[in-house]
Amino acid sequence: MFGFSKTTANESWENFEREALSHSEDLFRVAMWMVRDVEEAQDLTQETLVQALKSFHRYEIGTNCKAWMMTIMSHLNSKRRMKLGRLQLVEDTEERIAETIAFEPSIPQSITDEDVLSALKKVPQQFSQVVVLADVEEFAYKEISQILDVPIGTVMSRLHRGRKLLRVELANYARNYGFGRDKKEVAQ
Amino acid sequence: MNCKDFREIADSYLSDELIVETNHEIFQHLENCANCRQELAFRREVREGLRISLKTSPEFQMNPAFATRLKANLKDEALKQSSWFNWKILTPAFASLLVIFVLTFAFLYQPNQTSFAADLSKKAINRHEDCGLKHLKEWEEQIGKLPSEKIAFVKPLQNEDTQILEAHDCKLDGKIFTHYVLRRNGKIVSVLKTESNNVSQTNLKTEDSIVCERQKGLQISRFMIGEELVFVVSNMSEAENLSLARTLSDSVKS
Repeated sequence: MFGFSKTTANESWENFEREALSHSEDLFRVAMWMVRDVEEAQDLTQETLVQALKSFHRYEIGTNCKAWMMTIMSHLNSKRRMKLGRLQLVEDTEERIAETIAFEPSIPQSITDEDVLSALKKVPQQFSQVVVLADVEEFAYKEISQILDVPIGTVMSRLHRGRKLLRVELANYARNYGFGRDKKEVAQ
Repeated sequence: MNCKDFREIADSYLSDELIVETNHEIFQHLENCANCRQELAFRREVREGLRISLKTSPEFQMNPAFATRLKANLKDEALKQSSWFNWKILTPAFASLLVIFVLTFAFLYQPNQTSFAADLSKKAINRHEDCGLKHLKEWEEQIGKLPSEKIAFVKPLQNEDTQILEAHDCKLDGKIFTHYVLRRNGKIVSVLKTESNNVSQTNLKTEDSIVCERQKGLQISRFMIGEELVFVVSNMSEAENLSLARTLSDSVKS
């Protein structure tokens, strides 16, 4: 009996290592984006993987393990935020931001990848998170909808606004550093 | 398509989410609009830049020491789970199997209730013959003299056809019976009542059932009243004996 169990445990661990642990870098990257603190991101990544390990019997091998674990992580992060009292009223912020980005941003030039990252950090989290999941982690709308537990329409709208806000931030950045066109020019 | 339209759907175009016709309109517009070509190139660069910067920025990379520790912790957790699996899942499974085995054993080896009832029927016949019939003369002398509380159980049977001759307790092989001797249309009837010893219902299907059997030329009808078994024994026909038993059973229960 014990020999059988050990073999099963080893096989199970190998499956987990291959299917889930191989995405730990991606999990950490998104965790960092969610919590913006190395230690918290490490805790969240570990907590997510432990939870995934415990529930691994429910995971269907061959399906999108990365999306499955991102969903776990998003739920865990929501719980942590609730505990820490960091929940935000997203809808109000969305409405307010939507009003501020009615213009088309300028087209800055000579902007580096680091500049893009710095600009994204200035975009409110509920929008930047969707941009990261779509444009960096390359999840489909449906997967993002499941990960964040929001309707697909909300994902699409946040992504649209998030990308627009990123361009606005890049335009501001370009203007501050003396290249690209002023956003007022473009708005006209 | 104008520039404003293009800007609205440029991201969807980059993500390859548009239908062929819309893509075609975009190609046409881009051919004639340098600004939108530049805009599209910029958006593509932003997206690519974002992907690369996030994936390569040291800030978003996992510390190798943490990665090693994480893997070790997870492996420990996996092994812990495997032992948890052995004892927390298999033990209840074995316990359930054991319970099923014990219940099956108990069911298969329970005392034969039919033989228990048949054994009591034999004792009832014995009491009827040895106690009821042999002392008939003595019982006939006391017709009408028995205290009513002593014969309360069979009193409902008393009428012009049926007289109550005797009521006493008698014992056979340690089994105590309350024995009533009656005469019905000239035939002697014994009504015997004894504890069922918690053996449920013997072979009675329900409490309302009356089982009839015939042994040694005598007719027996037996039924349960609470925890007691009642036997009506006589040399009457099965129908007559059963009718008497039914009258008694109904009167006691009502």
